Amino acid sequence: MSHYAATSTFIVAAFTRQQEGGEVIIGLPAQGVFLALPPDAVELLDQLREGRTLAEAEAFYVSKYGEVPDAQGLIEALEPRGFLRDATRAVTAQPPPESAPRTDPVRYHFAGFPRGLAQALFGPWALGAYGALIMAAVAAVVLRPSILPGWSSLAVSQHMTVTLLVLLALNYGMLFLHEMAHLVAARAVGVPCRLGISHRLWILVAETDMTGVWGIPRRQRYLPFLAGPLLDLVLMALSLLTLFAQAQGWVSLALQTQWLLRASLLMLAFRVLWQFQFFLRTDMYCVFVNLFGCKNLMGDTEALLKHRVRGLLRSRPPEGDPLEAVPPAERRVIHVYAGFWVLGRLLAFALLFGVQLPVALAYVRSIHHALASPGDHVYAVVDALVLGTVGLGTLGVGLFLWLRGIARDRSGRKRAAAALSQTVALE
Amino acid sequence: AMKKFTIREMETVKTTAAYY
Repeated sequence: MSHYAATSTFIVAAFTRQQEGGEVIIGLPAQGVFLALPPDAVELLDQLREGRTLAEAEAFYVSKYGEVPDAQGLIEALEPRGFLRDATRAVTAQPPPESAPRTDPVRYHFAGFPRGLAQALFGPWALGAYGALIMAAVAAVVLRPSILPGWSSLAVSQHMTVTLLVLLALNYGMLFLHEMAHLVAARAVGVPCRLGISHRLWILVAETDMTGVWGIPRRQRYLPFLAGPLLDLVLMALSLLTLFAQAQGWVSLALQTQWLLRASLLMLAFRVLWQFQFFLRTDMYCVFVNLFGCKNLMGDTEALLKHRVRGLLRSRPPEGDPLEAVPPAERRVIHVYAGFWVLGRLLAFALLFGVQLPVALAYVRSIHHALASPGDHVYAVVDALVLGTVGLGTLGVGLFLWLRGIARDRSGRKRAAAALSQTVALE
Repeated sequence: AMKKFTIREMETVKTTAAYY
């Protein structure tokens, strides 16, 4: 534990601040570190930022609030996160312990994307144009309901492998555009982002880390959150309007092109629906968190549920309140969200065992059949192999990442428990 | 025994698109 001299002064990093509810969110966007503090703690930090010594900052606090602040504890929490450092120790600073939070600058992607262009793409005129396009597509569907694709429109009569590979390339292209829409909309409001691949449960996802939105006003966060689904809706509108033009005889499209448009439409519809599974971290989850002013909804919900499960497994209720530090309004949201968290996962498991795994088994059977039937036409074998490999691959990689994440969490908890028991033994 | 400050770490914000 560090102890700072009363005469210590501090070098305080430039940080963002947003007042939200009864707290202030302070952040270092370059490091991707954001904390929620009470306003009086930020006042104390401001005193240090203005060059006052620790004793002077404490005296200011006592004169204003009539209480002695735990300034040492505050500094100990903020220093390893990069918010400040002791100016008197700065020259001979020891490297932080391995357990200290990482405060290296984050490497952001497409940081050079022109901000003016980003603002034009998500400015009022552009948003009006996107809205008009979507409304035109709705009108086209009302006039010609037959342009809406159904499952039967997915039947592939010939060139199945080529068609599916083109669809796969289209899918990855549209996934990239979805994430780029988030990134560009965030860039328009000055928030840097990182793109990556991850998983939600066993579902493989592309994701955009835009933690820097905590550093901008709350109402400005909605467009970066919704830019991905907005792009999906615009692509759906363009596909529907093209199919409408074909149905009206204004353009003539090859059968394969029509198939790809219908398949893309269904794919985009799934993508938009996916966002509403907000019991996982999806785009709508981000909107929900922002709407209700939560600071760590998923973490707090999981802490509450773990606490409750422990209570059920023991005869007496567990001590402590996992939401002790959470303001009452936020606590109510967490209790409601906990219900969605549980129900959503029950539904996801039902789908995994009721649909996804049986279909995966059917893929395995079709591959086995294709390999065991040398008399079949070579194209039929290739079709089965390509369809099976892609179908099994997306689910298989997702399941692998999910199970690996669970194993890592468990080994991390065991290591932490072992380290704790070792510390207790030493004492 | 002093005025305590509660510091909460903000969660990471990650938007997604599923491969499934």
